[in-house]
Amino acid sequence: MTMSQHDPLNPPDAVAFFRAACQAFRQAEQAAGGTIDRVYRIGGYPVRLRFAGAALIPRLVPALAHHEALSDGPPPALSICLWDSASLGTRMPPPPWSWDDYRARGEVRGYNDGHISTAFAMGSGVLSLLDASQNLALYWVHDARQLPAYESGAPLLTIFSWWMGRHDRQLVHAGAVGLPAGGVLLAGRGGTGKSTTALSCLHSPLSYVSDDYCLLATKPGPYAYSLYNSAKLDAESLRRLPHLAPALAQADQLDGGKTLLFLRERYPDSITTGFPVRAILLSRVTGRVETTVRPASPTEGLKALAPSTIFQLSGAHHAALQTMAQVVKQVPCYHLELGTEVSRIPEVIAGVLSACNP
Amino acid sequence: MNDSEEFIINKPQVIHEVFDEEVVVVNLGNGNYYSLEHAGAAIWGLIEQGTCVGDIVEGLVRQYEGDRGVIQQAVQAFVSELQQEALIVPAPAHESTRVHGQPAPADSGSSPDKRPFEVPRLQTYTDMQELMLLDPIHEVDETGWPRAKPEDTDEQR
Repeated sequence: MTMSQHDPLNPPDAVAFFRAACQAFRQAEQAAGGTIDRVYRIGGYPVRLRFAGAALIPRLVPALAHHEALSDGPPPALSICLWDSASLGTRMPPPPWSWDDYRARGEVRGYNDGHISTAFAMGSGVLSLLDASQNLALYWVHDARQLPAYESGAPLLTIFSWWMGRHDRQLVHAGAVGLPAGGVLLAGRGGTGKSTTALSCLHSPLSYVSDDYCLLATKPGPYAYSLYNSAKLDAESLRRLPHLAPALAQADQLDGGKTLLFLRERYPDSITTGFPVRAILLSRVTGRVETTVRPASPTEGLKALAPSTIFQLSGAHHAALQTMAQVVKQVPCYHLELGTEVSRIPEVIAGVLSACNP
Repeated sequence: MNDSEEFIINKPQVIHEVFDEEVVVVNLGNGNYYSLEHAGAAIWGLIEQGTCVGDIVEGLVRQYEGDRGVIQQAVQAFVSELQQEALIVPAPAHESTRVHGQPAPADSGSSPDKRPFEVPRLQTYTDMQELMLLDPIHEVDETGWPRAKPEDTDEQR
């Protein structure tokens, strides 16, 4: 691993800290006696995870397991070095920034310029770093045992947001379900029924790409790529999705009454790696029995899709807004007004797709 | 507000996308996003082109049917609101690119089918502000890194 020479776009502190963190990983690698490598194909890109020690593996790998690829495939487009200090007895250099430098989305002021990106998530204690010029990322936590369960459901989110956004794959806060010929994005902030809708499709002809986050490409046309095979459900959603009961015994419980499921384990045939996007559905829980759709404008689509993506994901700025705007201008948007009869949701979505798919 | 005053979009904190009759604006600094329709979208477009306040009024007078005084007052109020929301900032002197009094570039002639003027409204959405809040300050461990408290660890998303 080498660090690029200082260039005028990057403040020396950001470069120096990235270099120091790389050194810390090398020490962790030595302490662990090498790395345990896993290769995944995510959004069409080979991504290699290099774990120093095994402590993080069971916490981060399940959500990505459906992307696992052969280790002797093409060279990785992105390499991510992962470790914790507690299990290896190694030390991470202290942060050179002050309390005042922590910003929304975990970004660290003064350490996100040029090709270096830096974020520290207070809630999870995860430090994420990316040197885009080397396609090299670092993921560190003090103690893997203290990693919150929600991080297991959506691991490496910040690094994926940074790197994929630079490689024509915009990470978006949206669910996605559909058929091989095309599917729908499910847009809306938390609590608008994205997870319930996506999981209602598990026992239908529609395949599952996401309930919360997916990768969105625009060339040659809108395309949704799977990122995680996890799903988060609250108690009310669980009550409305009784067909998931057999999967719950192995599920992790999140604080706040949510349950974390890994769908690859129990529904391997229902998940898919992606499909062309034919429509965007803006979900909303109505309390009525039947689920209905009605047209929405492109700007309504953008307002449902973009803010929760941009304000949530580090690195999502103007280019992210442009990508999402391009998609809402290319495919029709509909309000998906969710009814209480959850089992009927898939056929409503299938009806939208039959009108949109070629 | 002086007619010769010129504003620029507050980049990079403010990003926007233009649709046919609407502009969606996102303020990365305060967690708000906005919708500007019709005359509001036209004003935004003219600001983006470097048009001074007086020429924005002229542009709207050519584009819309309505009393000039009403349009002038509405433009000034709307521009003030955009400034208050930190969506636009006064243009530095060196960025002033146009000679005042020239026709607004977006619409140099009178529109043949003028639409009735409606006072523009800045639709403000604040439902994402919670995502901008920083997590509470945690204790710092002996290595200098913030340490999450056990009760804070799960389900903050």
